[in-house]
Amino acid sequence: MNKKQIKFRLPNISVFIPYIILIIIIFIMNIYQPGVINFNWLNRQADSWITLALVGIGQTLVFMIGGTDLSVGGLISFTNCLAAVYMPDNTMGIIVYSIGIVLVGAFAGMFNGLIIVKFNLQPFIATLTTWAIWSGGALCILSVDGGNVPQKFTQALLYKFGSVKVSLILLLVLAIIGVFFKASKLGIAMLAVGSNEKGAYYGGINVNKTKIWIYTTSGILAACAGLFRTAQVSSGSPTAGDSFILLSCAAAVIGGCSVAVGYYSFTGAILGAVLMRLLTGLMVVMGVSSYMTSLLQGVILIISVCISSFTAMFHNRKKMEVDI
Amino acid sequence: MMEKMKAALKNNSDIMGNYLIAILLVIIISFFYRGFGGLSHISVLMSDLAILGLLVIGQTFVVLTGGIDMSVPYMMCSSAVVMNYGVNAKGWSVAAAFAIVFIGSLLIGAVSGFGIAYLKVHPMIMTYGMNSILMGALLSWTDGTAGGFTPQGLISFSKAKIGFIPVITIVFVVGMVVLMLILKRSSYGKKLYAVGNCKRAAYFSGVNVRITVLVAYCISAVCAAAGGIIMIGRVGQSYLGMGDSYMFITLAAVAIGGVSMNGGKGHVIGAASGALIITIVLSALTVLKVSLGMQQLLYGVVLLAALIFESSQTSREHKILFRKKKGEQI
Amino acid sequence: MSYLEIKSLSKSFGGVKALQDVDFGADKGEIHALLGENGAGKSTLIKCMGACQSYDSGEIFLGGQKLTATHPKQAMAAGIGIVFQELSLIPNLSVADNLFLGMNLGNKTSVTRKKIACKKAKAIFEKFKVEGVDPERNVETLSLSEKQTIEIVKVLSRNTEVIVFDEATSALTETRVEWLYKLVKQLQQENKIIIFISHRMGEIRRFCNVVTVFRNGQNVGTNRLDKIENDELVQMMLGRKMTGFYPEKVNTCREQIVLETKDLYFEHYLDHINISLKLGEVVGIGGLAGQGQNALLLALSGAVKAQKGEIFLSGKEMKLKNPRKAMDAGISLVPEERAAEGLILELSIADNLLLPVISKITKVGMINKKKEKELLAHAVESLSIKVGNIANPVNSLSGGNQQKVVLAKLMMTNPKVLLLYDFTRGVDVGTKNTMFTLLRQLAADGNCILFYSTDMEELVNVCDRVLVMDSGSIKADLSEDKLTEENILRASIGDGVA
Repeated sequence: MNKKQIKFRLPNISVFIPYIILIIIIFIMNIYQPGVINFNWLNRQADSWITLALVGIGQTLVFMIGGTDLSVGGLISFTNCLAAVYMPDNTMGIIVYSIGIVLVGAFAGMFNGLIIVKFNLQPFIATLTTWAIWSGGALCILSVDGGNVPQKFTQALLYKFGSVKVSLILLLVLAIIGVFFKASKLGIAMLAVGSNEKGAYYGGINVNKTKIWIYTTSGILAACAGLFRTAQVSSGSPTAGDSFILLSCAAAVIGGCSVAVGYYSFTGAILGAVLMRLLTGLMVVMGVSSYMTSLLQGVILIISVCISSFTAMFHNRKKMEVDI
Repeated sequence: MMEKMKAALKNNSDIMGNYLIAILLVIIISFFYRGFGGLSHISVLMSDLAILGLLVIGQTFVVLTGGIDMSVPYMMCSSAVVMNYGVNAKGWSVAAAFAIVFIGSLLIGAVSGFGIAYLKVHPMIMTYGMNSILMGALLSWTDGTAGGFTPQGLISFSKAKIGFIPVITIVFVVGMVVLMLILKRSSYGKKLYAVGNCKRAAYFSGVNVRITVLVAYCISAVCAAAGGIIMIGRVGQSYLGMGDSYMFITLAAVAIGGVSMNGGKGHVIGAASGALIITIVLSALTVLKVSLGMQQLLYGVVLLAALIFESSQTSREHKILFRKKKGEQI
Repeated sequence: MSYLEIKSLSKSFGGVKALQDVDFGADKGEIHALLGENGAGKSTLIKCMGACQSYDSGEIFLGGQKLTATHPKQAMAAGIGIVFQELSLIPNLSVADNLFLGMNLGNKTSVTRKKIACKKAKAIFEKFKVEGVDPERNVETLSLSEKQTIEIVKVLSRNTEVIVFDEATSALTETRVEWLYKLVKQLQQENKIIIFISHRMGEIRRFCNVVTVFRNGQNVGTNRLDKIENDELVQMMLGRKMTGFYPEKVNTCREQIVLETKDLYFEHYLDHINISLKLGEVVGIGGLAGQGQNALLLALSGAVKAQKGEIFLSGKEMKLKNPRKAMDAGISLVPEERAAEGLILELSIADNLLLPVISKITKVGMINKKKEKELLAHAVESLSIKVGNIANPVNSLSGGNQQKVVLAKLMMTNPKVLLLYDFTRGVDVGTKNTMFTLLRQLAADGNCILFYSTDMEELVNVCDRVLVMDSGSIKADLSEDKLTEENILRASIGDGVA
């Protein structure tokens, strides 16, 4: 066989989907509220975007090694309650406490990674148990919404540098970090582990360590999301994180991540988060009842997973494999 | 016949252990708290068991396939609210409401099962998404109201007793026996265990893996709906979020009951023993005035402990083989 | 002592001896071929050398130093590089990332690593004269030939003293085979030790100067290729024989054609297969492992759909969507992997046996005890399965007995066409005899049997015809006096049939 095969590669559709949806939504928004989209609006929205973007990225990373992290729901609630109730009022205390909370997230993530790796547990069930544990912990701290969030903390996170909010800056920073992460040792190791564990092992990559680090990262991001949420709502709620589980999975999938294809991006995850928030906002604007919101969120999640699944099937069609 | 019983007892020694633990728990705690372990209390426990038990045996079918049904909270709540709202606000007859709830739950289970078996959506995502969808759909239909009061007939039924044994508990036990028969002596049951242990080999043996999985989710949905109906009978009315606390305790019960989260191992009588223990523990925790947060934390820990325990029982070779069967590249 | 010296290497898997006290030596400047049929031990040997596999006893020396590596990376650092068939590449990473996986490139930030990696990759491509591959492309977009090329270059760039090629040419295009040839000659000039595993005699004669033959886990002998003829090599591969006793071959072949395929095709697996099987025939599939035999059986049994081509059962075209449909039509399969496909190890023997026909013995969904007992008794008897208690889990049985259960399970569906993949692997002689007797009986009753075996002696003594497969197509159809082990082997290695 000496033919030169010119390969026509179908571009990965998943990459473009979030951008397409974004354009559609902006279009529709302009119809209902012409001219609403401007820089000020961006600033206002960024606060609600950052929290979901953080866990969306975390969930993306966990997806790429073939797992799911349900504990983010419990972690956000826990860190939120922890911050709301115990954060001291002085600047030094706030900084130390915030770092401490991020470390709690790291610990929680590392714990997830360790039990999954050491006991060979299925990720979704293992993180389900830790979700219960952290969620229960949150309830122990605060049985109802409440707490006393220091003003300084709220101001710091909601601060405006000139006309740009901290959240907006952070979103950009995350996108940039994403570029560095992709090329980093952990980023490459993560792709390797997700797509060919045996090859990764032979290549000298420490598969277990990679997995643990990814879960740790997810925990850190969840804790950060919890901190931001504390600042935004200025209180703690033991059920703060529950809605984030579904939304983060949707954000990750809409953002185009796919283990089969081997594609993921922080920007995509951020866009996915933005889209989920915009969709909710759009529904409000269009007069859809708030009850339908959760329904539509569930539907969106399932549809996007189906699309991702079909993309994977199409991608693997050349392998001679049984389709059970 | 005697040998068969002896063998069955030996194989299920862990479940027998569960029932023993349950009895011991009641006895021990009754020493500390007056009324605990008394006849009226046991009656209450049995009623509690009826509800949790139904949820648990339904979930068992799903877990046997290696999946999970996280739509239980709103499956329960939906059936409850639809029953009450239908009768109170829409003027349905109780019988019609029953039929609608039954068929509705069957259909919803089928949708979940379809997404999981045919569209290859991960069970967690499909059922958790379904939970949200149900919540939204329910609230939209009832305009945010909770459904109101339960029809009197249902209340009477749920509170009826024979001696100190609630009728609903008997219904549960009958249901459990029927489902046990299905698991052990029907063609579906054999196919279910085959699929749960090794989908690939089941496929090569001519089993329709997809339908087998789909039916399991239908069973779970119907059981959850049944649990919801009985619950409104006991409580007297339906309210939003009535099923929320049941998700974790159902899973904890399933795990304690010897049903493996990886699929293919365990059965409903075992799961029921887990439900029994959890029911007693729940009651004890309430009596001990343990906070809700602490309770949830404990269920998480218990579930995790059960998973770790099960993992430590399987050897490394078995784990590698298991992962191979699940399709990973080793 | 040779530069690469292996002393008394032994490795067993379960009860099977993959390598028995193997001594092996190779010197600098040698392009050393390893020849042998399936299971002879070649793969195991190189896996042990490259620390991809542990070994039970023995020692490996390189340049007088003992090899103590426990991980492939260590073996490579010590000087042994193995080029596998493209399995160890990471499909979702770029070529450059794969070449330098896990290596420190001295970059200060992560983004600059990409540039450095690309530059280094291009340098390596220039050094080894690789053309037409862009280092930035994702590996999965490459053709099979290009992937294998990258795999080769990856190992060569580590500059090891020993380079092992495991069936490296099977995936390469003609152009790249030429490229490899020049490369190998160059490496020989540089005094490397090259070990070359291939099953193609033509290639071996072209590339190599020394050959070692393996048989049944033992080193049968080393010779210079210019001093030995193919006939002798074939004899060494076959060895002394008659390890089994077989039922008498009687011609039970009928006129009726029961199974036919037309241009069955699946990219990289099946290359326009046309077969025609008659009732009463026992047809064997031969050839070295991985040449499409499993793919053929999977397609015929409905487990996987071929991309092109048709299957005809008794003249009627069949769309076999899944194994159930095939079973109902009368085609049943013994699949490749017993543990993950053939049996459900945790379930009881009874449950396994009844699974294919479970729906047929039920009334209102519940299993009919009487029918259950009948079928089980018949199954156990027909294959004289030694079973204590039929309710025991099937993994309590020995391998041979498990295999009997697999066959009995297949028989439950009363198939007209039986497809068997290597079903006598791991089975003792007595059991084999029982099974073969059963097969001949089935053929006499008018059924058709198609079975793949890696054991050529079996194929010759049991089958009426043998189809030898290589690279996804049927290279030879041997019957009557052409049906000999030598001919099967010759056809498998691309040599002419005598």
